[in-house]
Amino acid sequence: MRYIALLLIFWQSMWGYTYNELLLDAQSRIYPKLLMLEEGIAARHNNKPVVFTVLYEPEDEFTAEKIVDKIEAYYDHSLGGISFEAEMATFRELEPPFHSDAFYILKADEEDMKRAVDFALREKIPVFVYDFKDLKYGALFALTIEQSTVIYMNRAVLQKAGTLFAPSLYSIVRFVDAE
Amino acid sequence: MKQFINIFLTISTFYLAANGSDLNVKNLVKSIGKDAHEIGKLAEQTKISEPYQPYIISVFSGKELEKLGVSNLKEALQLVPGVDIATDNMDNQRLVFRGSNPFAFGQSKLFVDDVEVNDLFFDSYGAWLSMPIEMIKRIEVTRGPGGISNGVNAYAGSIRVITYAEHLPMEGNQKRFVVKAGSYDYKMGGAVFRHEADELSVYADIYYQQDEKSLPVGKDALSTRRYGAVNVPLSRDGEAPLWMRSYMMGLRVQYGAFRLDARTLYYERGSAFGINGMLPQPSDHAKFPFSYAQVSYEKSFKDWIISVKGGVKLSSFKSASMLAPQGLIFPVTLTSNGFIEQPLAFPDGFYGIHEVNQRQIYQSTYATSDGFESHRFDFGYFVSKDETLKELTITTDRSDGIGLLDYSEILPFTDPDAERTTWRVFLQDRYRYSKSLTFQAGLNIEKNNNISTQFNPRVSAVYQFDSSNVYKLIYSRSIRTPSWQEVYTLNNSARVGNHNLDPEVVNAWEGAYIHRFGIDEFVQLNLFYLKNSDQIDNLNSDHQYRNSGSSDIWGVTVEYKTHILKIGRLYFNFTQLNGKKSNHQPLDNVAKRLAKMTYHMALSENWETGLIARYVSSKKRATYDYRKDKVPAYSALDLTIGYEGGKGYKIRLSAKNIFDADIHYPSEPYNYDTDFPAEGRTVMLTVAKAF
Repeated sequence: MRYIALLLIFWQSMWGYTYNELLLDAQSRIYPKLLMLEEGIAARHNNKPVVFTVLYEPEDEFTAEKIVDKIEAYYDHSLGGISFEAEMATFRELEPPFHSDAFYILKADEEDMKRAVDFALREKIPVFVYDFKDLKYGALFALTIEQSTVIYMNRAVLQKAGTLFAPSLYSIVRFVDAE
Repeated sequence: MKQFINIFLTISTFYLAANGSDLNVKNLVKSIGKDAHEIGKLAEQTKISEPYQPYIISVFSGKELEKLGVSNLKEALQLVPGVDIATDNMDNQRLVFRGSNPFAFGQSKLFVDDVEVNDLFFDSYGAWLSMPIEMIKRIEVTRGPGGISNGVNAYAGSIRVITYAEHLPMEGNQKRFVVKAGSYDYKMGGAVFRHEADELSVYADIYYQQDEKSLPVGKDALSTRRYGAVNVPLSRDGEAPLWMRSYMMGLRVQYGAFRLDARTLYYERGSAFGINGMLPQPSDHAKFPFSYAQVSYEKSFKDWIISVKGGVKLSSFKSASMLAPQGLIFPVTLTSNGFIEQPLAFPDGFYGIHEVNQRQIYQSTYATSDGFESHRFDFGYFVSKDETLKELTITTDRSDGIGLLDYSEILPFTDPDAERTTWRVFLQDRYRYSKSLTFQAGLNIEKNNNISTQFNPRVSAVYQFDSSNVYKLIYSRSIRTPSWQEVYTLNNSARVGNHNLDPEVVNAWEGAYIHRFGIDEFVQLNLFYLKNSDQIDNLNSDHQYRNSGSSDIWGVTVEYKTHILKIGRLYFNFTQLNGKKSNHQPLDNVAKRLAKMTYHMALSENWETGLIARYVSSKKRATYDYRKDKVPAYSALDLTIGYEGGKGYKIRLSAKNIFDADIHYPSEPYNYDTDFPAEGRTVMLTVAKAF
C-alpha cells in the first residue's frame, strides 16, 4: 500500500492546474478595460474588432473557455462602443499571421511563456498574466488581490513594449520591476 | 527609470491631446476603480485577501476538500494548523487549538452562515462535526482569540462554516445531489438547491445520514475503584455504541435587503462510553437537536452599511441510558430526610432519562463605514437571553433501587429556573496609515449575569513590505464565559456546577510572516504566546467545576502551500508548541507536535487523486493520573481516487487511515484505562451529480 501511495504522489501527468475562481473573474472583468486604455486603439480599429486572446496550455482549455464566456457575458462583444472579441488559442498557434491586440496568458511552461511574450513584443501588443509571478517573463500587467485589488504594471517591460496608455492609467497601477 | 516614466507620461498626455479618442477614458478608469473596489470586498468576504488581514486565518474550500476525500466538517478541521481533537464519555468531540485546555468546551466557537451554533448547555458543537462536506462551501478558521465575526471574541479560535447559501455574483444557480456509503454501514443522501427570480432568492439544503458504528473499548471506570471496591467486579469491556442518526435542513430566503436564515439539526447517537464512565447498552442514546431562525436587514447608506439581526435558537440535550450496570451499589440512599449514608443496590441497574430544552433570543445591530479617510469603523451591540424551557430527570428509584421515578422537581440534573442575559458592545477601527502599513484596534465589552463586565481589547498591525512579503503583529485578550453545564449542573456526583466561576481569560501575543510566491502559493510562519488564567475543569475529588489555575503556552506554526508540476497542489503545516501550568507542571493531554499534509493531483482529464497525512505526537497525562504512560502518538494516511465525468457526475472512493493506525483520544483519570478509541481503517464511496 505504501508503494502505491508513493507512486501516486510522484505520478507525472498533464492535467489540471487549479485556478482561483474569483481572480479569474476579476481579471476577465478588468483586463479588457485596461487594454481599451491603450492609446489610439479606437482609431486603429475603425470597424474592426479589438481582439483579446487567451493563451493556454491544452490541459487548460476548459479554463480558457470559461474566461472567454465571462468576457462575453461582461461586455457582449463591445467595449466603450468599440467591437471587442475575446478569443482563445494554444501556444502552438502563435505563428504568423496570427493576429491579436493583447494576450491574456494562463499558467504555462517557461518556454511557452517566453515564446508568447517575444511574439507580443514583436507585435507591440500588451501581455496580461494570470499569476503575478509570471511578470518576470516580460508580461506587462498582472492583477492580484492583496489588501485590496492591485494592478501591477511591469516598468521594466513598459519601455520595450512600446505601447502607450492613457495617462490616468498610471495613477491606478502599481509599478514593479520584474525581469 | 522614474525619469523615463515621467517622460513617458508627458508624451502620452500630448499624444492623447493630439489624437483624441472615441473612448471616454475618464469613465473607463472610474469603472476600473469601481470594479476593483467590488472585487476587493468579495475578496475580503471570501478571505482570499487573508494574508493581508489582521488575523491568522486558514481557509479551506469545500470543493477542494471533496477532491482530497474529506467527508465531513471534523475531517476538514483536523487539517487546521495546531488543532487537535479531544472527546469525552459522551463522545462530544471538540477542537483543541494550540493545546489550550483540552477539557473545556466553548473555547472555540462554530458559526454556520454567521450564526453561532455552539449548543446552549455544553457550549459545544460536537453534533455539527459530522456535517457532510458536500453541504459546505468554505471553512474559515481563525486561530487565536478575536473572532472575525462582529462582536464575538472567541477564546482559542473561531470556525466559520459557509454553506452554499452564500451566492457570489459570478456563481450560477447550481443544484447538487449527493449519496454516500461507507464503513460501519454509513449511508447518506443530501441535496442543495437554489432559485433566483428578480429580487427574490431561495436557497435550501437537506441531508440525512446514519451509521451503525461501535468501537471496542477496555474496562470501564468501575475497574478504577472510582465507584468503590465493591463495584469493581461489575466493570465491563466491550463495544461502545457510537452509532448515529442525523439530518439537517437549511433555508435562506432573501428579498432585497431582508433575509431569513433558518436551520435545524437533528443529531442522535449511541451513549458512547457512558456519561459516568460505565459502558452503556447498545441502544442507549443521546440527542443534541439544535435549530435557529434569524431575520436580518442589511442596507447601504452612502459609506455606511447597517446590519440589524434578530433570532431565536432552540437547543436541547436528551439522554436515555443505562448509567450503571445491574447490581451496582451506591453508597447513599434517598430517604424522606434526604440522602443518608446507607448502601443501596440497583438489581436492574441505574437507568436515567435526562432532558433539557433551552432557548436563546437575541438581537444585534452593527454598522460599518469606510467613508472616513483611510479609516474603516465597525461598531455594534449584541444582546441575548438564554433560559430553560423544560427540564426532565427520570431515574431508577433512588430509595429502593427498583423502577423509574420522576425526579424533575426534587433532584433536577440542571437548574430549571436558571436564566442568563448577555450583552456585548463592539467597536473597532482599521486605519490604513500607508499603502503598506495598516493598524487595527478594537474593544469588545461583555457582561452577563454570571460574570463581571469584561473588557477585551485587540490591536494589530499588518506591514506589507512588498507584493510578496507581509508581516503581522497581534495582541488580543479574550474570555470564555462558563458554560451552562459548568454553572447550573445539579445532583450529579460526576459533574458539580459552580455559581462562583470566573471566566477563563487569555492574553495572546502573535506574530506572523507570510511570503507569497504565486497565486495560492505561500510560506507562513506564525509565532504565538498565550497566557491563560482561571482555566475551568472538574478534575478534583469533588468533581466540581472550578477555576483550577493558569497556563502559559508558546509555539510556532509553519504553513506551506504550492503547486507541483502544474498538476498537483501541496499543503503542509507543522506546529510545535510547549507550555507549563502555574504549578510548573507540563500541560495535560496536549500534543506538542502536529503535522498535516494534503496533496491533490490530476491523473488525467477525468481522474484525480487526493492524499491526506496527519501526525499527532504523544500526550503527557495529568500529574495526578495514576497512568504514567503517555497517550501514544499516531500517524494516519487517507487516500482518495476520484472520477469527474461529463454532465456533472462525480464518483470518489476513499480509504481512510489506510495503515489502520491505532488512534486513541485521552480519557480523564479514573475513567477508561484504555482511553477512547477512534476509527481504524475505513472506506467511503461518494457519488454526486450537479445540475
